[in-house]
Amino acid sequence: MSEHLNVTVNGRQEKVSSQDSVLNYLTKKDIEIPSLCYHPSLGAIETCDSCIVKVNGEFVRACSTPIKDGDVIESAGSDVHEAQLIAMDRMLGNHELYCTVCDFNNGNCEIHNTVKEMRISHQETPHTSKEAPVQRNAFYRYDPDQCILCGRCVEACQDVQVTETLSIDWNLKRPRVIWDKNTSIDDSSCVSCGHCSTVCPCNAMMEVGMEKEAGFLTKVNDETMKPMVNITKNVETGYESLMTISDLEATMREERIEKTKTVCTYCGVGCAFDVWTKDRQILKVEPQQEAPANGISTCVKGKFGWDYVNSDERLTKPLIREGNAFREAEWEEALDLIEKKFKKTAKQKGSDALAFISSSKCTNEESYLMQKLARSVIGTNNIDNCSRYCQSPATMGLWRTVGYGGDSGGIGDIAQSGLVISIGSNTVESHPVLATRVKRAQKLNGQKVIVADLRKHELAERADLFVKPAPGSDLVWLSAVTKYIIDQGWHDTEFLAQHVNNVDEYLNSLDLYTLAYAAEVTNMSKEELIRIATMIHEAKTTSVLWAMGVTQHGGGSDTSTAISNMLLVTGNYMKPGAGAYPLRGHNNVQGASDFGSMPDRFPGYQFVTDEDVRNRFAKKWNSELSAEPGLNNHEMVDAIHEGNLEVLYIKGEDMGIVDANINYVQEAFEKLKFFVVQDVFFTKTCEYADVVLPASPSLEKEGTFVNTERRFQRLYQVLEPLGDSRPDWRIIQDIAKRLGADWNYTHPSEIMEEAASLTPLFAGVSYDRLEGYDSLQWPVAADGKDTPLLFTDGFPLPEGKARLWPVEWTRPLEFEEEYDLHVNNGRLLEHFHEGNMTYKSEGISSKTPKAFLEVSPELAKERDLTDGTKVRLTSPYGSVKVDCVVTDRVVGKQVYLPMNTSGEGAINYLTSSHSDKDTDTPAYKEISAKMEVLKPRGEHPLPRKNHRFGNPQPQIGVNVEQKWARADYTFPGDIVKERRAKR
Amino acid sequence: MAKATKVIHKLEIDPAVQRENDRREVEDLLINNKEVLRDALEVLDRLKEHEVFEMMNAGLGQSDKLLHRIVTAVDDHNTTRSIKNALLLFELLGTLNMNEIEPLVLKVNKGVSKVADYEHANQRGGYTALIGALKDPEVIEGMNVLVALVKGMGVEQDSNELIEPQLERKEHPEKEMKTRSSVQKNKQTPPRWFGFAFGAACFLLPFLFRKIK
Repeated sequence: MSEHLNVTVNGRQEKVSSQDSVLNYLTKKDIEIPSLCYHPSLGAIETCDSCIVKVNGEFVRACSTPIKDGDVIESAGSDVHEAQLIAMDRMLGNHELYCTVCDFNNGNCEIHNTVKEMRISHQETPHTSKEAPVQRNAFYRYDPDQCILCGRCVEACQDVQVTETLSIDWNLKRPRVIWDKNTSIDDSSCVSCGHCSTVCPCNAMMEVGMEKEAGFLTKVNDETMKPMVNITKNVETGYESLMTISDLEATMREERIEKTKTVCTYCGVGCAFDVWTKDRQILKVEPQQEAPANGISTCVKGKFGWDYVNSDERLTKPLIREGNAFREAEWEEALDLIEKKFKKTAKQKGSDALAFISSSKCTNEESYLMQKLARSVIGTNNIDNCSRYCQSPATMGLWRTVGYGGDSGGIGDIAQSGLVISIGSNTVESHPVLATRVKRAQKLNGQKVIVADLRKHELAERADLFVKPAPGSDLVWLSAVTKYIIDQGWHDTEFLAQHVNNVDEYLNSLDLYTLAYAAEVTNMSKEELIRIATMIHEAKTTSVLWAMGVTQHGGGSDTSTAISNMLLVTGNYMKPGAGAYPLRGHNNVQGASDFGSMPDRFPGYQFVTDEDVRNRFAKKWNSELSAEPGLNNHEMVDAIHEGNLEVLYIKGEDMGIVDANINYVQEAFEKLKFFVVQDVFFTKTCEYADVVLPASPSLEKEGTFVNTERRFQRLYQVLEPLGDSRPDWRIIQDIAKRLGADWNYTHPSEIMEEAASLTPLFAGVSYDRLEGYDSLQWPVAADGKDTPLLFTDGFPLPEGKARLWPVEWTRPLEFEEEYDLHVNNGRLLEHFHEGNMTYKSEGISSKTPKAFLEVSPELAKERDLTDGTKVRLTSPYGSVKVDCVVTDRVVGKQVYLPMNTSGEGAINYLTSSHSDKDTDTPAYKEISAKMEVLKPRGEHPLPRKNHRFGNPQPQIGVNVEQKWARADYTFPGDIVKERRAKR
Repeated sequence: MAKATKVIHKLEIDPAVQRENDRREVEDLLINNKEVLRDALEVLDRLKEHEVFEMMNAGLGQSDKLLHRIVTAVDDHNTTRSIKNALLLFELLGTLNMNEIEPLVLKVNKGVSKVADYEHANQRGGYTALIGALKDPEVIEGMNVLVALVKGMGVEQDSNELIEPQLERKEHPEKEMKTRSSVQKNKQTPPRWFGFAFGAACFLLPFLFRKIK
């Protein structure tokens, strides 16, 4: 291809600098042509024909026609326009224009806007019903009579979300969108991710939250709506007047519907979107193409899981304990009490008798203030956050080897990777939007996927290679694969020589990890190990994704290190599409640590033991700072039991249910002299508090989050704080002031300004640079230059080189013989963590009302278990009661218990205090239990309308060829040609 | 030793204090808006006199039923066509140039007035009377006016039509979008036969008058 293409557009000579479709080129040149089925995030679908132009004298669809050198493009001729009108007329035969009484009439209806732009005043093809009922579930609805069959929803479902539920049945007399094999939404495999309603150009696929709520004239009974539509149609004198009236009505809606950008507060992907609200009512979540992490994508939680903000169960007043009960109180009284107790304890027992736990759900600014409160106001480094429960080992593994504890690139790098290896990560359910990028790349672009996991989750089912290593043995197979690669001479010697230190020492440490040894320890076959090595060797780039299946072990940090070692040996750093991707579980698990809620580090991972750093902070904060690293979460619990820690202040963390060995943790809470818990709901942890402070969730405040890609994003305030609740940063400031601090922050941007001024890692971060959907990936230089690809010039370690780090396998915890079942645990798609937020959604809870225990068919046969059998699992640390689901997702004596409950099935009644030897992250995944049947037969814990009972129908896109093959279809360009020939 | 508890006693607000707070809030509102309130109350008083509130109350109370009755009644072919025609007429009014129409209307009015005065019994019939009338300057002027009107009616106005079927637009897409003005310009040229007929009529008229003399 030459550098420039010469084309003629409407008689004018033009130079085109890059290859593109005709449609994209014309759009860039501000030449507007209709394009109803085309969506930039979906590409050419070719169903609507409205973008017909002439190229070299032939009618073509502009969306799917690439520009070639010498092309003569005509987009403005009467014959072109005639063909476009024919296409539009066909679509209007499928869609009734009752805009003024339509909830989708908000200025962004693409049919409305196209009719207006083309100045179409009437239609020749009358609108007729498709004679099929409206489909609906708790989240969205499909009205076939409004559907123009553009196929965007199908494309999004099949090739973006890749749940593969939707298709258009082109064989029907009147084609329409169908679910699975033409069943209802609730009976299908639909996961309610919302992609379909997001990309729909009109009101056919629409969020139910919008129904009868968005419009001024739409809240009428169904029986009245039909005659109203008829009247509108019959009295209209041409679409121009209809468009004018509906435009006026749409303008009026802007007065009462607020559209505010926020960032999702569930997992670590960092989806950003607009929230549409009418007063406190959430009408819908509208993802935007420019959202850097997710684009048009969401999962069910991000799209529909926001009911909790208006829940009656929200805390709206401070609570003060009196004996064995709480009473509501005013803020002044609660703050008085906190002031008195904090001061008294610090004076009598010293600052280190107090400890602080920050939250990965809160903002960076709040994490910053919490550690500033602990360090500067109280004088202790006893500050930590919940990444201790999940991600610290991954961070440790990366610190050791490459210097930065963050993802090597962005989600785009994962998508363009030649090979993705997922280890111990149920990413389709835990990071749904990120997983869609892998599924799409594999389905459409030939990306290879290896999954190493105990359980056959969705990505495992789709994988090119799925291996099931023995629990806790990942380090061994990773090291064996690395050794095999080196033995074969497949390692990247040039990369190692140029960019890596400690190579020889590391290579020597691998002697033990022969294929035979690895096969014995991991139960994997030698062939599997060789195939993994070969696939890495053959792939242009390899990215490794990992999560709690790796980190929550006694040797979690070492296994994370082994992953990074393997990537270094194969040269899979410092290039796009490669690297290490520890998948962060919470929205701001990255930011909570980035902003210093760690016992040994200030913001930006600067050590408290570093005098220069400490002096810098001390000067800015105008206070003495302790050089002694504080206690982490795990150590805090021990310190309480030992009587050394008397006061604990936790915000946004249900530690009493999410920490391991919760019986031990709850006993510790009972021993505290004074316990402050700050949360949105009255959690299990709150039950032990002395003072409970009502906090505001993300929709009620401003701030920033850092997602798994190290990406800073701003969230804007959508709603006013409910009742007397307050944003966490305000509460922390209120407490700090009571304790004598001279803090006067009036907006989180001022907190960020201060944090950035003290932290080289994100010196250039400011609210101005994060306006709207703008984002920055750290490190961010003072001039605002950010770092999408983490390692380009080298590594932030001595000599600018990475460091291979020899590791040894830590055997998983062994249990007595009676504890014969290995209890794997993790997440479900629909619920988040203990479920404080997602169980408040009626729609989500109706589909997935409670946690359940997955047991294998073999175990079911052996123990006479069926779907609904209630069992008790007992470990040496406690027991849970839960209903069974028999499934081949698990095998043999491995069972899977989702963490998504705070009730009698809560996993942490079983887990121990055993932890990663390097970071104290609890070894949640090293747990065995015995089972007893409590009730042999019972109801299936999942209702039939759960998507797991569905029957997906994979296909590529919308199968438009079937449409073109229909007897009633003629390409509009052909019709025009024929007409012109007759004249 | 804090044992776990879920018992929460709600803050009891003294009803008297709450009432006092509410009263003060309302008072403030009234005082701050007393001018507006005075005007609004006057209007409201009049509405009350005319029982408008009772009507509104009844209407809103039964709004669902009323709306359904209304839309069902209106959703009738004749009714919707009436509304449509009314809307079309409204649109057509916008195309009329009243300055130009006024003289025509005055002329038509005069014509109507003459028709009203006309009595069949008192007039002589026959071609000669008709031809004789052609000598009348008022008749000649009237005919000139009519000829001008007929001439104007001969100009094609398809492109200016507001009520136009889509099929027509599909088959003549050049009339859409930006091509419209140039099309209009071309089509406003009167057809040649009209000019010829008009010229012939003008040419014949003097002969007619002379013959009558």
